[in-house]
Amino acid sequence: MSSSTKFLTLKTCDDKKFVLDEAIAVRSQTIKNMVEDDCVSNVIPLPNVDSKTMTKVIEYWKKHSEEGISKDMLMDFDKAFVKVHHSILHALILAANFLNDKEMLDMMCQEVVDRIKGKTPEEIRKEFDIKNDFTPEEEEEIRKENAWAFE
Amino acid sequence: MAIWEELPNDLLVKIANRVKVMEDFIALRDVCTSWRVSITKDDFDMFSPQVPLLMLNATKYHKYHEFYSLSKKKVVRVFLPEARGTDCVSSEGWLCTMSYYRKKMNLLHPFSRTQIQLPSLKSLLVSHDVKIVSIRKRYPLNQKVLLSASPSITSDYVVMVSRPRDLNWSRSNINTTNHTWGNATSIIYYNGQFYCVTCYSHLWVFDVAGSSVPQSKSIVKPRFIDWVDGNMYTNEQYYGLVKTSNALLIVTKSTHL
Repeated sequence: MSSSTKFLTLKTCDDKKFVLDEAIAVRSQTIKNMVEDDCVSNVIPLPNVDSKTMTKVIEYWKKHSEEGISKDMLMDFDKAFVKVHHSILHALILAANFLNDKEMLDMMCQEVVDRIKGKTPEEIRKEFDIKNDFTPEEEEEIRKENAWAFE
Repeated sequence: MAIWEELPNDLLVKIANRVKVMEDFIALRDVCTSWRVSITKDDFDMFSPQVPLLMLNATKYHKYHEFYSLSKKKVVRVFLPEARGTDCVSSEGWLCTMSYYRKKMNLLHPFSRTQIQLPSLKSLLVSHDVKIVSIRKRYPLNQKVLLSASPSITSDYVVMVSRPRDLNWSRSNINTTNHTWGNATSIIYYNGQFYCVTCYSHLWVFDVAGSSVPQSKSIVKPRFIDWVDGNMYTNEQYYGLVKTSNALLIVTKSTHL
């Protein structure tokens, strides 16, 4: 590690602190802007991200910052990384959005799309624990209009 | 805990933008109220190529239209009350609905059910209705209506009707040339121009490209280009036009056994 390495301290909403190499943390455009605008004192608060989610985000950032890592290895890592419970996937999307990491956000959104592929609305609800809140009348209207796509 | 229902609007749209298959997009909008409100039909990527649905013809008087789904390998019924009682032909993912009774002609998108009204069919049909039918019977003219581009993508498109005689339309005047015209057996849009091949194997082009896009009532004169050499006109020969990525081909189908 070179002597010029700077570290940032990130504080999540549940008051956990993460010390991170600045070069890695600036994968977040939000943090990068703060660093560039000199708004960083000691600790950067992340009021929208909890520690469990931040641990996953940092795992992703570190892997993607590794020197000499091959494309294939990264692809395998990404593939395994997105295989999480839908609630974690949801938290990661919000975190990636707040931290403004476009690459990560795109990957997580794509995972949602991949989980939707070929499914009926009912199967999607099951996958993501979503309640069907349409009225019977709306339901009937939708069924009439779209039944062809799922029957 | 309802977390996905409350996903912010812009993130839902971001997800919806990535959905490439029409059926998946429809499913997404049918999950719950908040998703249906956040995701609009405009969020679908119209440029993403779809596995085509093949339109079946027998449902003229029903509110549903039948299509054969190549991906599902079965017939599906699409709710299309707008197409009821009309003859439909398709081009660029849109249907052209022609009502001979009401003398009306519209473009209709089969999934958004958006309608675009076209100029009246009135005078087109007065004298030529019978002709269109007889041509279709004898020569398998696949498309009577052809779009140069999808109205979903651009407002700059030309609608070509194979035998237009309506004064509101740009007319394709074929009587001013010395060539024998013959009946069109296939029409296609290729590289900014409409091409037409006749039962005599004559290939014609209609110049409608670029700034010369015809105003209404102007006349588009077709230009004779070539014919298939060494083939005499026979009842057993059918000529069609096929587009590949870099060429326009005339194909010959022989019905002679």
